[in-house]
Amino acid sequence: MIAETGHFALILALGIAIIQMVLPLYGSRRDDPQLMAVAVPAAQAQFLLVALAFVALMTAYVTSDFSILNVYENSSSAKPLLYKISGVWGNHEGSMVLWVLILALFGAGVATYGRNLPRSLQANVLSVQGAIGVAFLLFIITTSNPFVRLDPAPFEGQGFNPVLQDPALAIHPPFLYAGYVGFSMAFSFAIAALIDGRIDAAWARWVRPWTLAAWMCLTIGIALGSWWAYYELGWGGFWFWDPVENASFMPWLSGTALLHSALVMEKRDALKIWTILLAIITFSLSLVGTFLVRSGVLTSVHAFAVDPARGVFILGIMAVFIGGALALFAWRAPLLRQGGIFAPISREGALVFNNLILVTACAAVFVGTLYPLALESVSNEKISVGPPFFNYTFVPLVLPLLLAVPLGPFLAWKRGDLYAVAQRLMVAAVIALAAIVIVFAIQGRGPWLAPLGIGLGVWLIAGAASELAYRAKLFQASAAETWRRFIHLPRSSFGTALAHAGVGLSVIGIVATTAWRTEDITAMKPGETTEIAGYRLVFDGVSERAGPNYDEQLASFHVFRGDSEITELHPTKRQFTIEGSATTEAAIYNAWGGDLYAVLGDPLENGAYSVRVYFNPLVRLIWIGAVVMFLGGGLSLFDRRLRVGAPKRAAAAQGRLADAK
Amino acid sequence: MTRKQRRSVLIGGCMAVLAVAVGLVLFALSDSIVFFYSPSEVMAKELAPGQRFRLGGLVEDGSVERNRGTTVKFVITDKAKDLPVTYTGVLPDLFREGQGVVAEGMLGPDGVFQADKVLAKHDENYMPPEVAAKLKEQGLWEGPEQVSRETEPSKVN
Amino acid sequence: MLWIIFLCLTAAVLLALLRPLFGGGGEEPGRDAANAQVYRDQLKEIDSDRDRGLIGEAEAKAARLEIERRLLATMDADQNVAAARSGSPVWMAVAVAVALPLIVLGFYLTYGSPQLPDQPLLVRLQQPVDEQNVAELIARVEAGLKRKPNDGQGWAVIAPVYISVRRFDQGLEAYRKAIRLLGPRPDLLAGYGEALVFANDGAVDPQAREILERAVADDPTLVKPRILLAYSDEQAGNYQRAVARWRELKSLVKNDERWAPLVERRIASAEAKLDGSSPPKGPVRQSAGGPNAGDVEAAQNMSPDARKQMIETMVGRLAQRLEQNGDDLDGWLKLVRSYAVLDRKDDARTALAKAKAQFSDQPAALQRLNSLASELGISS
Repeated sequence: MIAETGHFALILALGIAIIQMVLPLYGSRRDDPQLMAVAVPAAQAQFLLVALAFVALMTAYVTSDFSILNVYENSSSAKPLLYKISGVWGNHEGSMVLWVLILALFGAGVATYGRNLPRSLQANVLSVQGAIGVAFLLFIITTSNPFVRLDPAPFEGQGFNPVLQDPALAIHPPFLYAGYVGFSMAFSFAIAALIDGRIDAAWARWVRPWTLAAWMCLTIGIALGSWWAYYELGWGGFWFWDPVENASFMPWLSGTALLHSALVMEKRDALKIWTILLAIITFSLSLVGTFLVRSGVLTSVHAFAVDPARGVFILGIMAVFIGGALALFAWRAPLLRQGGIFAPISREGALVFNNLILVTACAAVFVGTLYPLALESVSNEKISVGPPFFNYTFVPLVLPLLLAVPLGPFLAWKRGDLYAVAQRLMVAAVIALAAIVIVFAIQGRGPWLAPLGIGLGVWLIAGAASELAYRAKLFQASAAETWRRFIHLPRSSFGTALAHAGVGLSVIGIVATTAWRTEDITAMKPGETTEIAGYRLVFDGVSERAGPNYDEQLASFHVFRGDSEITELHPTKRQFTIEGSATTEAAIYNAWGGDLYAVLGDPLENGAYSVRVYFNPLVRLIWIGAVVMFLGGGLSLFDRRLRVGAPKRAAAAQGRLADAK
Repeated sequence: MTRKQRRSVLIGGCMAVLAVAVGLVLFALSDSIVFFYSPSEVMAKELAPGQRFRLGGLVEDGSVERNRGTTVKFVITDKAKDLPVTYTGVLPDLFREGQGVVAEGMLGPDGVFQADKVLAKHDENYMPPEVAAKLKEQGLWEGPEQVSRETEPSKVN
Repeated sequence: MLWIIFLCLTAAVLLALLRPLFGGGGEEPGRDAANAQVYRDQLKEIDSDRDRGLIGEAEAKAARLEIERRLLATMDADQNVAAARSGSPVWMAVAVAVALPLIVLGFYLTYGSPQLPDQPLLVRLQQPVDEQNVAELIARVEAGLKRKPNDGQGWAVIAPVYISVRRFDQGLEAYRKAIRLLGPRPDLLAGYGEALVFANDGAVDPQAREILERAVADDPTLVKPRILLAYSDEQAGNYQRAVARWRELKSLVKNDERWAPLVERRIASAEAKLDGSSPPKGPVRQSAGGPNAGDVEAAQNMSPDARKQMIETMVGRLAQRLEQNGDDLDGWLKLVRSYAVLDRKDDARTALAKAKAQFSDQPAALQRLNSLASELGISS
């Protein structure tokens, strides 16, 4: 009964989404307030029903109701509760329901909190959201239905892919989807503006927080995925430029650009058309990501062709939404009023530069991700575009952006003064140079570029700190005055500084671990010792152990630094009986300055095991940086002030310059 | 600056960045993409030692030698031609004799493929897609439904 | 109950959706009013920023100027906010109220399974076993075996269950696995041999015979394989050996009520055959009344005409018996097959139709009849 109620609720949600798509739009065309008003209860009801369906599915997972095919295929009664729950979205069907749930949640948010929006804007936005809902609900119900039943029901499920049975991966998809789907708000607002042919004052005020929230979720989602890959896949790498990773990275790049251009639009009423286009592109990339991951096209273009129902459906959704949106853009964008003007050297100019680089870098990733697919479908030639491609393209493209990041917040709106900015950043520059020199001096080996990379990260952090210091008039006013100014700084300033510093932290982590990682692969017998990065590992041997739903071989290492024992490491290999597959669990010790990372390999002859040990210097900064970015976004999000960019008149700018001197 | 000048600066900047980007992408595509070959294709193309490529096929039965520390020797075959491979490191969980595998690396002067990466995904029935496609072309493999846990490697013939 | 929930959900949703259609006009701000409000808020914000010293006086002034300009622009724009047109779209409401349930019902009836209850595992495992149908039991064991394919005991348990539901191929496979994993235990061999016989429509072929013999040799107390072997001797016309086997059995099953009467009857029947006299009449229910292997062997020694006549007589006898007591599926199957072999297609069809009428309420029986019909290439 619960299962069938959930199924019915999902279908009812589809019916409502159809009404939500049609009536409000028709109402706004006819300027009929009653029809437009239908959008609000429709969006709310749609959310409640999808939530009901989701809860029903989750109940089935928790109670191991194997009369549901989806539960049978992706769960087992022996699985721990956490993974029974996360199993709901650990498979294709369930994850699509989660996708739609988040979509409906955002729609309900606009319906509930958007009462001060102009009526026709709200109606159009919800109508577009309804259309996206229709597309994906239809997709779920007709091609990926999670409520298909089994009769008679088996008594045991087929289990859940063991590598996915992991806490980080349990919460990775919800964040990722909140990110993907959050960009649908920007998309819906963009389409609504195009339909109306005008952009209301409230437009950017609404779009930016939604985009920010989505961006935050995507940041954390990507970081969790990378963290998971780092410790679960046993390769010690944090980013593989894998198409699945790129699928989430592309919307992140263009979403970051959108975030900044929406800032310009909100504060300065400029870059309107570009922002709208960017909103469309960002959500389109989210759809592309969904398509890449969900259609099976990545496994092989041929696999996609063999069972094309799902792939073709998502391809259709993409064609309709992306094609339709771009066509609408081409048709209606000329109607939009152009915004304010600004000089190339100005805050706006800096943000345009940011956008330009991010979008270009995103395009490079796009080419690298889709080129093999395109080539295979055209010429049947198989290639792989691996990390070298992205190192040659993406890295050089973003370097100038990273160099320029600290400059942006110092530049005044409308017209800025690069010379004055340079002066204010002098301290940060000195710190960064010092960092380069010190690192260069102490690095025993490693590429000469590495100190420069570390310097870049330091430059980002010091630059972010300089901005706060400057705004609080540190060393220019009394300590009390500085403190008063500091705590009264708008939260968004802290947000910006934190987010930029987070980028710096990640850069340092990436550079350090790429340049100075050490790796040792040896055959070890019990009692033997290996050394890495000043640590000594003594291998005690391997013992067998039974877990809740697996058997494992547990290796023991005693780790010494100097003469004192620091810790024990227990890398394992697990065999999951129900799923019939094995995983490698790395053991990681978070030592000073980096991670000691041990992986147990295959048994060799005469009782030896092959053992792989890494030392990954500063690798955790990568994810700490992402968390800091997330926090920065959160601070900015909860800054409830309206954002007005106060432009400087030429005279004012001169005056400020005099002050600084 | 007039509005027109500003706009031309803006457009000029965009063009410059885009030109750089296109240049980088073209350079990287010509230089860093890795082709995928089966042993037969490697023989037919007479690839020069030192050129990176991915080699895919089945791990020949009984060919895996692990006796020299962590260096593993095995033979990748597409049932028409064989190619010996050496690899130093920990093999993936699902590396098995008779199963599909993709190795990335280059040919050494002695004609042995020196792999620095060996891929096999975390799925019992997984056949790396390139391998599956190549084997299908040669009629050696039918599809995922036929690779079950009990399929004996010899049945692949 | 389920449909009441569906009805309530749909009704609640329709109520919520249609309310705005009958509600009053909008009290919400018009478009320009909303925009103007945003600008006014922004002006307030600038003032408070200036008061807190976050922006200078000159900047505040410049910002105010720009926002006031925008504010003015909204004022200039179309002043008359269109009065809320209440076209009272009753037809729209009706359309929604009709279309929504129809669409939803259409989809649900296509994809839903309203007849199936929830089956949470805990509840199912608490149900007593005998309340569950065999298919569920099989599913339960199968699931366990999927997890532990090397559990020989599991295969040994499920094998006879497969046979009992006539899934012979799986039953044979299960016996083979059990024997491989547990070794050739006599009980398993006995079961395997029995399964081979059943799978072969009751005929004991040499392979089955060999396996049964081996089972009996390993464990002389086994009853079923001995019975089968004795039958097979009778089938082969070797009454002497059959009688010997039945006598051995008699001492084995002396106190077993299930088997003793059967063995007594078979001894009598086989001895009668051995003596050449007809078997004693009585409530003897042959497992598959009709021409048995012994008759066929006898027939082979006759001239073709005589043989044909004899067969026809026997078939006639069978038909007669079935006319009187039709509740014997195997008999009907045999009759249909015999007619077909004798090339009397019309009679075969008639018999098939009669059998189908007889077993019209038993799907399993009908299925067997139909599969026989398609095997023989006749249709009723």
